[in-house]
Amino acid sequence: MASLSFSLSPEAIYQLHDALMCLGKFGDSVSFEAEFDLLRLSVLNITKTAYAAFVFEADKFFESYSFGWVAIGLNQRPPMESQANIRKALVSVFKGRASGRNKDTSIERCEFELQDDPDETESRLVIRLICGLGVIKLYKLTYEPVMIQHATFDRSRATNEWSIEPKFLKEVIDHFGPSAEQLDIYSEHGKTVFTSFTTKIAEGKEILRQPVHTSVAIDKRDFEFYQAEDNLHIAINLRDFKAVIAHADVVHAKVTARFTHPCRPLQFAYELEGMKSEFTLMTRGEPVEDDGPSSSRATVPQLSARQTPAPVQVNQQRTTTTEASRMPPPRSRSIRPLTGTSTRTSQTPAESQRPAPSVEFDSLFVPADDDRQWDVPNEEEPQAEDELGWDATGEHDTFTASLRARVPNEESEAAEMGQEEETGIPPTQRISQVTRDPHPWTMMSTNAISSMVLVYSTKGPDSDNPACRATGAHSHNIGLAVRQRDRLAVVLDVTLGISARATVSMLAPTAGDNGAIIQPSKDMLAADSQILHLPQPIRRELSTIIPAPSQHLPIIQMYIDSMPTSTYRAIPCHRLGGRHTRPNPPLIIHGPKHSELPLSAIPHDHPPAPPIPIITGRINLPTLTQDQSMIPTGHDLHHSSIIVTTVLFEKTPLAERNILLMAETQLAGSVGSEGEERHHPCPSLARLVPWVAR
Amino acid sequence: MRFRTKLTNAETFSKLTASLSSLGKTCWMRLEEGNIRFTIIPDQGTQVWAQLPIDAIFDESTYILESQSGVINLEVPIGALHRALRSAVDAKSAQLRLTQKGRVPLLALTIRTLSWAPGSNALGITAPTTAPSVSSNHATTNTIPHDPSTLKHPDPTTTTTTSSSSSSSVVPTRPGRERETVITQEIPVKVFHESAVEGLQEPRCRDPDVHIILPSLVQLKGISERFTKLASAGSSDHTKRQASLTGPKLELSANMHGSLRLAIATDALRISSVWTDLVNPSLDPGQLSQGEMERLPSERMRAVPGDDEAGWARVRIDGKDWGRVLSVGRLSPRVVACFVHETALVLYVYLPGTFNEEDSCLTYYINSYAA
Repeated sequence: MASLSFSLSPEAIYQLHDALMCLGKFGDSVSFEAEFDLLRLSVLNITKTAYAAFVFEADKFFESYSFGWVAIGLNQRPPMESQANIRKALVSVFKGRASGRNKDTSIERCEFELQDDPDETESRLVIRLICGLGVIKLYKLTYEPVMIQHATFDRSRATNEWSIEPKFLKEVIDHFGPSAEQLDIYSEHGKTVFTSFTTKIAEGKEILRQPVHTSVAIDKRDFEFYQAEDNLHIAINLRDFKAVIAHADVVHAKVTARFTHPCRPLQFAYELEGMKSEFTLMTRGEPVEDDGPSSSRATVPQLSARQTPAPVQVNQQRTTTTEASRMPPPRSRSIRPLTGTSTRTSQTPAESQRPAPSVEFDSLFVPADDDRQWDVPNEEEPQAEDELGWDATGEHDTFTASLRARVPNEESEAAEMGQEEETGIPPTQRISQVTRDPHPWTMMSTNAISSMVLVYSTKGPDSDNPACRATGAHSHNIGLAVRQRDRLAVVLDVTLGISARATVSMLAPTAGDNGAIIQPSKDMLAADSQILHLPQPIRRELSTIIPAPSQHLPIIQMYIDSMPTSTYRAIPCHRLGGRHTRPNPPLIIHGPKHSELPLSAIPHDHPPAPPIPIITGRINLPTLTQDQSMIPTGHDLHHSSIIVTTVLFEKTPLAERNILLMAETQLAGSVGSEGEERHHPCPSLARLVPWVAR
Repeated sequence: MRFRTKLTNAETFSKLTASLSSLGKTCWMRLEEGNIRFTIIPDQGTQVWAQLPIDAIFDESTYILESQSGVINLEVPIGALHRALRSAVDAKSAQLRLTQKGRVPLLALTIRTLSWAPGSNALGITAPTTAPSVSSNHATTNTIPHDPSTLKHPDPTTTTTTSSSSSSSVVPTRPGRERETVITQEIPVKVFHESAVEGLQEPRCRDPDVHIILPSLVQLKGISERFTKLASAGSSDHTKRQASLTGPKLELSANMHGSLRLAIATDALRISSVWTDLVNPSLDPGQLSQGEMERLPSERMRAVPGDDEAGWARVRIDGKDWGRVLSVGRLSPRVVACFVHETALVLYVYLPGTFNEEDSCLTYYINSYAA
């Protein structure tokens, strides 16, 4: 059971109303999602080509905000057929309130309360408008808890970015006819051109009914910031664009667009005090036949961590950490020069020493899972970049410090921590990739330590940015602590928290030929409830005991990614809709490369790998709280696009204590062929369990 | 086949297309040497035959028309054309040309607008760098500390400058400046062969009984619409259903003594408005001999005394259609209405400044309904 209640000031009500109106242009059912410090309203349109989200910060936007559980998802969908009703109801709750401000009975406060009681048959959203003269207006809306899907977008990997005052774009939009459908954006000769076009083919008389093609060229100087490849045509739905700009114009917020290629998502984002919004739109156009990965095979041997330089740089530049950590994401991403050559701009000395990798990653969200990463690691490579570290000192302080160091603001502390290997793996990296690094495992076998901490922060530079948290792929922590309490007793505490989000393909084709097992770039959408029903320990209530929700342990809906592997090159655009036609085998079942993982050193038939009793007993939270600092709190736990983690609890015979077993696997793309491969066996789980028990 | 010209009077053109678009979806646009003709022939309702000299809307010096027959006939979606022209109203320059994309012929309208873009430093505190240059980017980044965007993104600026030396980099200070926007509107059209339009002839009808200059179209439109509304609301359900298809019938009549009467009659009500002291323009005596002149029906009507009902020529027209016709009032033209008793109403709409010139006239042919 979750409890959520918050109250709004009149100004916030107008903003909420505007946001709802804007969301209404994308879809009819609005998803509410509460986390301990933010409320997110999102809409995924019916064709899954556009995702709009507004994030309201708990401490700024609301007068009061209280949230009692981890992640809840509810979808405003009325029970009957009329899908729009509830959103309309919500809008009408707030509509017209702006006008009555000066009257006696104008709203003084608005209180939201969410009643989510399993005993009740209906879940209700109660909105109480407290007006002047003691008038109270009460609205009770029903809602439906649903699986919420998110689009993930990795800002640091967007190679193109511009930002502009919305009024200029509003002018542009004004020139478009009402029937225009698509919008193509590109730049050349110092101008940025917005063109409306239609994809309909008309014949004969119908020609005259075609929408007018309008193209509007504005000077690049109109942009606050412009960094995008010339002649790169990106096409989006004009109506979505209009919806975004209309709202941005109302709130006078500078709009920033980030994108890479056609057929990769584009994100508009802007923020206001206490409110942030993101619109992730699928683009169309000529998919870039990206031969980057194949041509740069020799030059880019790094793990994916390398390719997401944001956290990496922080760690590389220990000496200059403080300054470096403040670098905003746009600068730390690889910038494609405007000249159109695909060489990356060298940004750090470390990088520039390498042959400039002509990397142009096909995938926006997840590093291209290149074959090279399975090669023998180049020992001469600076290991720091591999981003996996163990705090072998066994000291709690360093551990926590290293944890905190993930937060960029506190980077300086990490700098002082000197010896410990900073860890900061981009979210896009799999654990299996990480663990292939021999380093930590060597540490393990020495067994000379009483506790080890493996923390990978996947916090990007935006991690303190709730909007980024909204959908950013960067924004989660993975914390793993292995703690040997007693040298005699073989009791290990293994705690792990990984943000988890199953992913669903967005309608994007893959154009590149990278030897990927998965093409995680298409994992734009994630459903919380697919994985995450476990209550996460909440930072605020360390002393409480949370009963394990045994009956709620999810059978992991492990959707298998059905993206093409290298054998099946690109999926042509026109086959977007036909998921079933993708012939490639699912990752998890057919991943021969898994056997190459270091983890496979553990025998498969190791005896202590029984079927895991699914959550018995309770978690004694105080036990966990020792590692609390590294367990990501609830709000961090929903942003992984790739790594899906199940945390299983088992009561062991060895000790009174609960042992938290964890399992890790990767998921990418939850939509496999219907009815196929939804069960949960995951190889890495099987491997991990014996390891823990040892 | 080539057609290219600059617009000199985009506003008139836009208004013209707006009033035409209320009557029909597509328009036959006939481009000739010296003249442009717009014709709308809807399935039902008022026909418009408009003829303008090219200098009414186009720049004569840039007007290029090349065709085998010397004439280009286009079928134009007039609403789309109007929509496109709206972008051109405040433009610095606008050019219209016939082009082709794929196999679809297009009327391409290229518009350049200038507007003033205020800078981010509205007070102009850092005035010196009015013309931001790329090469000075690095320096300005460091020396202008108060610009928030500079503080926030110093690196992209420098990176851009060094790596691509493109002119698109961030301008540290954003002084106000003229910003130019280029808008291209491509309107799909169809090209008619001359033979396809041969059969289209301007309607002919007998000499009018009464010709009169209409009062202000705004006033006329307002009253007409009010009458139409009254008749629709006051009528029974049965007539309402009829009305939804066509609208109630207005009775419009005039005499040769400067009076115009607008009336509507239903079962429930009967209202009329009368304008007096309007002008009945005299016909050009140079075109007609004295004998012909006297035989004209209008002259006979003029002979009838003003208070005699026999001197009135009457037509019955559809209220809604009339309202659409009157939308031409946005051009603030002078309109001569020619009444052919119980047969038709022909409106000659002269654009302002071109009064009584044969070649710049919009002609509306409205059939009279039987009583």
